Order: sequence, then C-alpha cells, then structure tokens
Amino acid sequence: MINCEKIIDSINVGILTIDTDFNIYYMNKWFALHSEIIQEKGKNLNLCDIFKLSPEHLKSLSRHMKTALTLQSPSFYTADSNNFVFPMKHSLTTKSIFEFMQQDVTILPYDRDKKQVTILVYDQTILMEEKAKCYKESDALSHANKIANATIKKLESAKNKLVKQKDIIYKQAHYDQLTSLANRTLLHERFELLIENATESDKKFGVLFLDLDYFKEVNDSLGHDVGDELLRYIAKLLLRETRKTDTVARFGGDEFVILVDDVESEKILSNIAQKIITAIQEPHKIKNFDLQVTTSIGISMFPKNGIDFNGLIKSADIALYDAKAMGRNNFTFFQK
Amino acid sequence: MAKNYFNAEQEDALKELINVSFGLSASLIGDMLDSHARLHVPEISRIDIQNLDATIIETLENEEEFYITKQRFLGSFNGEVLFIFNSYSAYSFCRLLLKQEENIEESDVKSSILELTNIITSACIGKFCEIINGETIFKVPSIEKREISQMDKYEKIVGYENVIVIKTALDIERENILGHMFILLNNEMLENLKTTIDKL
Repeated sequence: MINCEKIIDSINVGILTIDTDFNIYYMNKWFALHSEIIQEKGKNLNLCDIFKLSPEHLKSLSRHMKTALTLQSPSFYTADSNNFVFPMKHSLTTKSIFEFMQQDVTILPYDRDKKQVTILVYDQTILMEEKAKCYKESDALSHANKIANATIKKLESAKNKLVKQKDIIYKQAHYDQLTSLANRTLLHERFELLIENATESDKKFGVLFLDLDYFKEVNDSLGHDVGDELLRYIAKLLLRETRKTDTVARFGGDEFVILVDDVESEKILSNIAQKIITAIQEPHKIKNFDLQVTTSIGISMFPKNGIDFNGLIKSADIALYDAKAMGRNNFTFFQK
Repeated sequence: MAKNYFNAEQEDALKELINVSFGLSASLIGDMLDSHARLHVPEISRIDIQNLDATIIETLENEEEFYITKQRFLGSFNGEVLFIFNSYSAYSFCRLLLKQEENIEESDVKSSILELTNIITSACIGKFCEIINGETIFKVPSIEKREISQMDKYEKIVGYENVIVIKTALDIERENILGHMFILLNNEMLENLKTTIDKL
C-alpha cells in the first residue's frame, strides 16, 4: 500500500486545504515549515491566524476559490503578476531582492459541497530572481545602447562640423574673398597640374593675363565700393566667357589670369581674348553708375613662352605691357 | 486545409457552446466586479497557425502595446489558449476590478487579466471537454506585455495547425472591454471537436 501522505510531505510543493472561510483542514510539511508553524497545529487554525492578509488580498483569494469551485477547474496566481499569495520568508541563503518567497499558486476544487479547495504553492523565487537579473541586464544594455547611439550622433555632428570647417578653410586658402575666383595659391596648383599633364601628353596651354584699363580712376572717382562691385561683375563675366575646364583667377588688384587648357593653336586664344574684350567694353550698370571699361590682355603659351609658373606669368605680363603700349583695349601674344 | 473550416451548422453549434460557457463566465465575472456583466461572441472564425501574428496585429488595429496570456491544457483534449487585450481594455478591466481610477500598477493589470482569462478559459475549454467526454488539466498561465513593432522578435508557437479565433466582448457597466480568444488546436483535436459537434 502506497503511503500518499508520506509522498505529499516529501515533495517540494506547499499543499493546503481550506474552505471559503479560510479555515484550514490540511497542510503538508512544506507549507507548515515555510509558515513557521507545527504541522499538526496548523490543521485547526484559520489562514488569518498564520498570515497577515489584507482585506483586498482575502477578497481576491475568495474570488479565486469561488472560480475553482464553480467551474470545477483550477484557478491560478502567478509569481510574475502577483509575486506571492502567502507572505512566507524565502529560503535563499544569498542576498535576494525579494522580501518574501515568490509563488505560483494553483487553487483546485476539492469539495464543492463543503466549499473546500486545495491550494498548491510553488516556490519561484530563484526563477524570479533570475528574471529580475535578466531584466536589469536588458535595461542596462538598452541604456548602454542609448548612450552609444547618442555618442555616435554627437561624433557624426562633430565630424560634419569639421568637414564644414575644412571646406571653409580650404575656400579661404584657395579662393579670392571678393570675387570667389581662384586665388594665387589655387592658380599655382592648377598651373603645376597643367604643366605636368601637358608635359606628359605633349599638349599646349595658354595663359591670358589681363587688367582693366584705367581702373584706378574708377576707384578714385567713384569709390572703392563701386570698384569692388565692378571687379565682382568682371569676375562673373570672365567665368561666363570661358569654359568650365579653364581656370579663372584673380591675381591681385584688377589683374586676372586665365588658364586655357588643351590649346591647338594661337587662334583659339585670340578668339577667347577678343570675346572677353568685346564683352567687357559693353556698358555696365554698377551701383547706379553706367560704366564703360576696357581691358588689355597679354598672352603666353606653354611650352613656347615658358615652362614654369613664373616664366609663363612673366611672359604674359610682358605681352600685357605691350598691349597697353599699343593703345589698350586689345591683346598681344608674347614676342621673344 | 479547407476541410478544417467549419460549415454553417458547425459554426452555429460552436457559437452556442461558447455562449453557454460564456454565460457561466459572465456570472462569475459579474460577482468579481459586484456588477452585471455580459459576455458575448460577436464573431468566430478559423485561421491557419501561420496567420496568427497577422491576425493579432489586425485585431489590435492601431494599438501599439497589448497584453497576451497563454495557457496550455493537456489530456485527451489538448491545445493552448491565447488571449489578446489592448492596453485600454486591460486597464479598464483592472480599474473595474480594483475599483480605483489611479495608482494602477502593471502587476495589477496583469493579475486582473489573468484572473479574467482563467475564468473564460476554464469555462470554455471545460465545456469542450465535457461534450467530447475528454479530460484535461490546465498548466499555469502566463501573461506578457508586448509591442506590435517587435512582433517578429517574439518566439513563435509551434505544434498546432489551427486557430479558432473568438472575438470576445465583455460589457460591464458602461465599459465595453474587447478581447480576442485564440484556441490553438492540432488537426486531430479540431477534427475530434468537429465530429462531436456534428453529433450534437
């Protein structure tokens, strides 16, 4: 004959039989031990003699018992949503985040007529402790993730700022502030590149050196603001009259240099120079003044008139001087 | 899988069975809340298990967060019951049960919903068991709060082919609490249920 009571007293589940008035009819060893009472005495007690249970708590327990008895089916509490039904000390010997044992509780109908139910209590403290740890770690990870994302955002923003600043610095170093044309530094770099390419491929390129005739008089008579506006206007005009592949640079004051790449013959340079002269001598409205200015252009060619920056600029400058000497508003090629 | 769909007579009989079990549930729920409760079944349908997530998303309409309870039942009639409640319905029910408007904690909502679904599941599955002369035991249920946007990250339920979807409306006082009950069954259980229904 199997001794069921012995088995029930040896299992790791709390078992309790009570009625709807909370009078206790049976408890197994597990329940008695965790309730800190003597098993035999427990049978004559009321649940409220053992535990301090709030009215809400008792009401909830009554409801669950009624559900079990009416439906003749189990009713449940889970540690996940309820923590515990019976405030028992947990048996962990390590530091716990819980004050009481975390319990899954199943209420089974026992005797409908006597309104008795059997209650099974499962200790879920270790499981809940692990769950809490997982949640904590998950929260920590999610927090770290948020911080990492914020840091990445900040770094990206700083990188964008640096790229912008780099652009600004590059522009300041390579472009003329007044006209936004290439400055001497950039002109020099383009020159070097052109010389290198032209040397390798045996090509020619031209240098147009021009300044405005009598520009000083415009500045002196109408003021520097008008002079500056005129220079800005000329800069736009030069860009309009040249190809995108050509380099138009402000060399200084009212002097401009144009690098014309891949030139087959002097004729191409003559055409460009003439186009510029014609365009510049058209009347322009600058700050409410109707201005008519002219330009003189000196032209040199690589490699015929020089093989480096200084040599080509010097040759074009000499040619410009000749053009001025010949009455201005015209262009000349450098003559040896 | 078309053979697994319910015909009109079977659907009517199933609705009737569910209504009977819901009547019993409603009376218990009414007692819980000290108020009159009416539980009715506006819609019932069957879907394939692979459409479960899509159907859950569809039932929740624009809600982002929802509660899902799961409970297995084992024995000669076995399967699993899921309940889906949107946050509004879950909080409304909890407020009615606790009779408080504020300071409602997440654990209160979860335990309230578990209590509610425990009643409906027991009544409904108990009724099915009764008609097929089967026996079943219920496992401890679980509840989780989930997000629609994370649906693909949650573990998928396996082992079933069919889902009976029961839209469940609970009218209490002026509140209309809507939930969706999903009964997951394998082909054998579904056929068993249908054969029994045909004999009724």
